[in-house]
Amino acid sequence: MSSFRIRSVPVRALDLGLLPKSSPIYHAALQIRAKSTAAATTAASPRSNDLRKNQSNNNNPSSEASTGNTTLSQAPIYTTGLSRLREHYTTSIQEDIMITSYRHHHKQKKQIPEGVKVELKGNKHLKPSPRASSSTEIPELVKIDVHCMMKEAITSKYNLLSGVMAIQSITGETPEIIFAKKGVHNWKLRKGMPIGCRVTLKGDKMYQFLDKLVEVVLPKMKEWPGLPEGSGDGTGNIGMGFPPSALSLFPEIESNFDMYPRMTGFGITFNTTAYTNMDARLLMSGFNMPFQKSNSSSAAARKESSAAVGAAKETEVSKPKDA
Amino acid sequence: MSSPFARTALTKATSLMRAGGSSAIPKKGGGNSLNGEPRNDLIKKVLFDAPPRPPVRLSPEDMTRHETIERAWKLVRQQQKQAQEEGLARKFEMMRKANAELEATSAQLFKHSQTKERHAVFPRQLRTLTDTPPKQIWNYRQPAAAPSPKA
Repeated sequence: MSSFRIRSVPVRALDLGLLPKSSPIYHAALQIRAKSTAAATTAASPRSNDLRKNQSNNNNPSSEASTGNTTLSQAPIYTTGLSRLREHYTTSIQEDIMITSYRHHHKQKKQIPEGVKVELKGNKHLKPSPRASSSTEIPELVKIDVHCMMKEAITSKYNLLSGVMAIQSITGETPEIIFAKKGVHNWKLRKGMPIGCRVTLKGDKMYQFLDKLVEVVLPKMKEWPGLPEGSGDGTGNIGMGFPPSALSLFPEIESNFDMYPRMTGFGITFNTTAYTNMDARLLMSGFNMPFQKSNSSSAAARKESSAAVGAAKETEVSKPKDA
Repeated sequence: MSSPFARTALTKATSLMRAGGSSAIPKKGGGNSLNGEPRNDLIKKVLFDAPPRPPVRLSPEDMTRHETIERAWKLVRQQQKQAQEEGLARKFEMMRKANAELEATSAQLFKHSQTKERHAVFPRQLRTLTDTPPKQIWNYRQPAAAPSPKA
């Protein structure tokens, strides 16, 4: 019976666990991992080097040689199942968005040479210039930022724990704590005080969160007419805020509502690759995010009958008509 | 508390704490008791004191299997993405040609094709794909949408 050494594959679980990077246990685990990798590499170097070369030829950059060093890298662990909204995007709405946001002539903005500072009047700032339409430049949802600021944390920092736990339950990722950059005397806020928490969601987790939002939370919200018609920050991102009552609508919090001492409101930002507000709104509406509609809408596009543009057919059914 | 089952132990304690009532338990030393809130103590443990999971140990054979599977899955995803991008590029090229032709044919029609509606959104009735069909497949009683001026 040939004996083989069982190589330990340490700390892959750091991605999955609830461990924040501020915890001393995280750092201790990292050190243990570093030690074990060092031991493994020094132990079997000549043979492992050959195998490492073979491995790299098979273009597998995420994990290293099999027998020499068996630590798995911190590559994101993707699910093998399908993400519902991601599939919806790629199969149903991506092509329509490509067609609707197509601009045949690209308005090239003036290129500002490097090192030149441009100051605009009236507290305005430069926006990133859009790129020409292309099959690779289609508006897509990149990340969702969930952030929560708790005023009660000024009186006692332990009040923030409830918000952090709530955000973690909702999103599935451990939020990072935000410390005040400046002090505000009127609110008794000092610089460096923990005042809020923030988490960034990408990929499958992002689509999962958006799915929950759109299917479960938003329909339950009382008298919420939808996002404003002109929402957007001018560079293709959309933000929205939730009152504390919205937190109890999430299924994770609804099930053990009593375990959270304080309900807090939070804000969400949808970060997209769109460059304009209309492209961003079009994208989010494709994920069933409702937008308010007014009867008085842009008259110029409607007054004269245009040739059958494929993209316009989607707006025909639901648009209110004005004479 | 280094057992991997530490979290279940904590959750078992929650039911006891909930039965006891949050504000009914008096605590000594107000500053240390996290606002006199035992729930905060539990939350703090879960967030910051939770022990990391024990490392996964794989034999060399298992490691090879794991890597092969990972590589194969990556390859599948790469092929799918490539096929998708090719499809998009094809369609985009057709659209670009059509627009160029329209521009050459009629300036007025081309201008109308390029004017964009500021508040164009997908209809609210848009149905995201699901594994199973809905309970109500088609609403026969829904009133028809008003005819658009374009039609």
